[in-house]
Amino acid sequence: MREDTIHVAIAEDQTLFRECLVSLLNGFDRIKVNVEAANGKELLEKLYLIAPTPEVVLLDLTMPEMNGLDTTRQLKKLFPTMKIIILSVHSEERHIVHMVGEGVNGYLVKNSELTEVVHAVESVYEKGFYFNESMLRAIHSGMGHRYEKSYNPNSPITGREKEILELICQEHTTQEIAEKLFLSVRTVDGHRNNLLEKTGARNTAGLVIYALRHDLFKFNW
Amino acid sequence: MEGQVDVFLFLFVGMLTLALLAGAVVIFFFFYQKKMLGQELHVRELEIAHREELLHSNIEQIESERHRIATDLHDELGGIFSTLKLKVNQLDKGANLKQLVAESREIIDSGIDSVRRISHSMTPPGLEMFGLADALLSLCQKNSSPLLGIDFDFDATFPRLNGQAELGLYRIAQELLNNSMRHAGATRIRLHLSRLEGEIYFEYSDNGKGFDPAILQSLRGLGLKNIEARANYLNAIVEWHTQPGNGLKTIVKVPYLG
Amino acid sequence: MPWPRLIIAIASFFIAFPVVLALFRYRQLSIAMRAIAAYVFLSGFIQITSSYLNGQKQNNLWLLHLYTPLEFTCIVWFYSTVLQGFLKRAVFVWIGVGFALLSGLNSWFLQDPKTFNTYARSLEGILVILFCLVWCYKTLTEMKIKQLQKDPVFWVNTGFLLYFSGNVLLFAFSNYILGINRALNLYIWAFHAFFSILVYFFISIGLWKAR
Repeated sequence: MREDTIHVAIAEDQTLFRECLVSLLNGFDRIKVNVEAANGKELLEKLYLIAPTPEVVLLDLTMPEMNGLDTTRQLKKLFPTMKIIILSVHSEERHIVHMVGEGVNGYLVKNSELTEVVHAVESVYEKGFYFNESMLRAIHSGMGHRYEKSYNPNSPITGREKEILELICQEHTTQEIAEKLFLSVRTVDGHRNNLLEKTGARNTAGLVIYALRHDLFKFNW
Repeated sequence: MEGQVDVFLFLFVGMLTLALLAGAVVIFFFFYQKKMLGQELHVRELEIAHREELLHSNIEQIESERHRIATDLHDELGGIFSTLKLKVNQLDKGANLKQLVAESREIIDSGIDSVRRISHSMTPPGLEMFGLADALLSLCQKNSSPLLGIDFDFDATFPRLNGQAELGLYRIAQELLNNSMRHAGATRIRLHLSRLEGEIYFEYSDNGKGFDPAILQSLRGLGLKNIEARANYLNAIVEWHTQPGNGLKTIVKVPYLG
Repeated sequence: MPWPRLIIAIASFFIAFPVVLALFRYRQLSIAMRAIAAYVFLSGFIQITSSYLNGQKQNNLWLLHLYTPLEFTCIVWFYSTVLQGFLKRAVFVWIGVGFALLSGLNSWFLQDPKTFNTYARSLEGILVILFCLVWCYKTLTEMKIKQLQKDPVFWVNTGFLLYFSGNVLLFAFSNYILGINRALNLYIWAFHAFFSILVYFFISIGLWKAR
C-alpha cells in the first residue's frame, strides 16, 4: 500500500455539499483536494492551470453547462490517465454499466459514508476500480447487452488470462499479481491489455463488470 | 546614406510604437479588470445588504401579525368564552332558561363572527376558490364607505394565476389600501388589474397626501419594504409615482407566461 | 565592446534564467506552464547551437527556419490549455499543424535557409499577438481571476504580447535591412535583444509564480 498523496478534483453543482465534501476529504492525510468546480466546463479549465494535476476526479452526473457524461468523454480525451468516480443520487445498474462503458473507474452514491468515499478514492487510485457490494450484486444479476456484443468468440479468453482477470477482480495490484503468478509486471500488463481488447472494456472497472456479467468470477457475497 | 538611415529610423519607430501600444493594452487591461471586479463586488454587496433588509422586515411583519392575532384571539374569543361559561353556569342553576339560552345564542354567534373575521384577515376569503379579481373586488367593497370611494376596474376575462402570484398581489393591494386609509388620508382610491403581453399589470392610485420619493431609497416604514419584498418574491417590478401633496400611483408588473 | 553587441550578448545568456527556473520547478508546474517550460528549453537549446555556429563563422539562419515552427507549436500548445473552453481544441490543432506546414513549405520552396524566413516569422508574430489578445478578452469578460499579478499566465501572456508586437515589423524587414547597412542593422538587432531580455524576464516571473 503506497503512501503518496492522492490529489483529487471534485465537480459538483450543489455548493454546500461540495464545500463540505472538500473540507472533510482534506481532513484525511493521504488526500488533498486541489481542484473544485461547479460544472464540467469549469473543471476542464482548471485542470490545466493546477499543479500537480489530480489523479482522481469525483464527478457529479447532473451539472449545468456540462454534465457528468459529456465531461467524462472530454476527460477520457484530454486526461486519459485520470481516474473518474461518479457521484450520483441514484445507483441504477443501467447507469453504472453505461458510465463504466464510457470509461469511469468507480461509482458512489451521494449518501455514502465518508469512509466509503475515502476507500473509493484509494481503491481507484491503486487498483483502478471501485464498486460497493450492492452495486456488484446488481451488476452481476443485471440485464443489458453492452458487453455481450463486444465478446469476440474467435478469440476467447485463455486460461492464463482468466487467472489474471480473477486476481484483478480480487483487487490485487499488477505488482501483486505478478508476484503471485511468478510473472514479470510487463507480462501481466500485456495480458491485461489483451483482456481489454477481447472484452471491449475501456479500463479495469470494465473488466470487473465483464467478469461479473459472464460469471467468470464469483464474489463471496 | 540618408535613405538608409530613414529605413532604420522607420523600423525603429515602428517597433517602438507597436511595443508601446502593446504595453498600453496590457496596462489598460490590468486596470480595467481591477475596476470591473471592484464594481461587481460592490454591486453584490449592495444586493446582499438590500436582501437582508427585506428579510428583516419580513420577520418583523410576521411577528407583528402574530402579535395581532394573539391579541385578537385573547380579547375577543377569550371574552366570549368566559361570558358563555358564566351563562351556562347560570343555566345549570335553573333560573330564567329562555332568556339565558337567547343570550348564549347571541354570544355564540358573535364568537363565530369573530373567528370568521380573524381567520379572514389572515387568509382572504374566496381567493383560492374564486381568484384574485374576485378577492380584490370583495376587498374594495368591504372597505368602501361614504368617506372613501374605491373603484376597481378589471377585465371579466382576467385569468387565474398561480397561488403565489395571486396571494402576493392581494397582500400588496391590502398593504397599499391600509396605507392610503391610515396615513395618506385619501378619499378616492382606484385599482386596475389587467393582463398584457407576457405580464400582469396592476395599478393602484389614491388622492392622499403622497410622500417624498426620496424615502424609497431607504424604504423606511409605510410597509413599503413589505411591498418590495413581496414583489421581489414574485420577480415583479414595482414603480412608484408620487410627490408630497400629489397622491400616489403604484404600478406592479408580474411576469406571466400563461 | 560596443553596446549593441553587449546587449545582444546579454540576451543570449539571459535565457539561462527561465531555463534554470523551469528545470528546478518542473514538478510544480501546471500543464499550461509545462508548455512554457518546453518553449524555454527549446529556445535555450537553439540559442546554444546558434552561438556555437556563430563562433564557427557558419551561417546559422537555417536554425531559425527550424526553430520557428517548433516555437509556434509550443506557444499554440500553451494557448490551447489556457484558452480551454473558450475555443475548441480542434482550432488550435489546425492552426498549429497548418502553420508548421506553411513554414516548412516556405523554407523549402520560397525562402532560402541561408536567409531570414521573414514570411513565416511575420505570420507567426501576428498569430501569437492574436492569441494574446484573445486571452486578454477571455479574462476580461469572464472576470474570474481576482489578482492578475499573481497569475503566471498573465505574465507569460504580457511577455509574448510585448515581444511579438515590438518585433513583428523587424521580422518582416530582416532580409531587407541586412542588405542595406550592416552597421545600422546591428543597432536594430540590439533593440530586438532588449525585447528578448524582456520576454525572458516576464516568463521567469511567470515560472516563479507558478503554483
